[in-house]
Amino acid sequence: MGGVSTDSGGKGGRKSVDQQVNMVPFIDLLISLIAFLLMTAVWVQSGTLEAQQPAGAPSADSTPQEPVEQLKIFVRPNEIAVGMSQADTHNIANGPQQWDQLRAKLREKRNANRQQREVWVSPDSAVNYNTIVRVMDVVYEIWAEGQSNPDFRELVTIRFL
Amino acid sequence: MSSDAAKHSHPKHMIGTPLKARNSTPIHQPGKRLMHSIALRFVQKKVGGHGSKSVNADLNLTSMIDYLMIVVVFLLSNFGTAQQVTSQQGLEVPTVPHAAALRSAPIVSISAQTILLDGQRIANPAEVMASTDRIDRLFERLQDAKRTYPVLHPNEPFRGEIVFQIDRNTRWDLIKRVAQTCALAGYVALNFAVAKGNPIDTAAEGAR
Repeated sequence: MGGVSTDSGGKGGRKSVDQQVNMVPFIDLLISLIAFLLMTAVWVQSGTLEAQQPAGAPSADSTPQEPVEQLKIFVRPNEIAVGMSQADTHNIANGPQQWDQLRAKLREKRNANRQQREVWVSPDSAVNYNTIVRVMDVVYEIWAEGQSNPDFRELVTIRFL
Repeated sequence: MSSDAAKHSHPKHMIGTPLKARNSTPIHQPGKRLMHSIALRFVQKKVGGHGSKSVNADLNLTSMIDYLMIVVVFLLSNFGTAQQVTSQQGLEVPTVPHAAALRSAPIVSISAQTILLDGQRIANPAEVMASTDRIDRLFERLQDAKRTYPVLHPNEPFRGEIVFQIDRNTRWDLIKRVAQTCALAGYVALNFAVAKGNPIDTAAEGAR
């Protein structure tokens, strides 16, 4: 047990050429290696969603100046609004279909202007972080459609109002 | 031994001899004959093959070694160079499927309990929300980090990147306050750390 022989004869009274390789240390090494790798393995893949904010951001109380002719997403506690201007804004109410509706609307805007490389996001103060990240993720998803190995930072720039 | 006894034990003729008396004849019952000369009965049984089954078991190690090698190769391939952001207790980052690779930058952690910069406590969220000014300690630390950036990265221009590691239930107004201080210090590229995977829809998120 614990050995591997390479049988190659040994008849006729001559010294046997069988070799016994001791496998026990080898197995010990493998098991130690597995234990080490299991402890150091990264099971949760991390990543980032990048967004730009104006340098020297204005104070929280001041009203930000909205960019003209840029795609804007307003994230409010009860809805998400998408549009290029006030007249063009489309509201998506909270619900199970809201993310699909947001995808469809952003896809429409993206197809209307393929040169569009900037999306402005304006979250309401009461909105939680998870919702904002979901909106940014949908933007990345739509702008990366048709790309085999997308570099999200090159495809679209998300800016905060 | 007397001649009478010898005559009885070695009969000349087998035919007509009772079967019980034939034991002493040269003709024996068929069966194994090897190792019968060993005097000790338990040794005879052991070596002659009549004893109980051997307690030594041979394991086939080839399949086991194959299995171990496959596990090692799989774990080594996962080992890679994937960066990881160390998470503070009770902080749960959002999970989304689309995310870019992590970049090396100062890490600001925001949770309901505390605000940290590279693992060091900077401020209390309640104090930050109560004030309208910038967060002084954060501003000073980031200024220091900006000053040392050319020394640590001599061939890279300063892009003002900062990693935000934020609990998924944090409100935007708190994040905005911290982000404004970062912008004042020159850090305008916000990298929101997330876990890659399918997003978890919770009742809290639905209600927002």
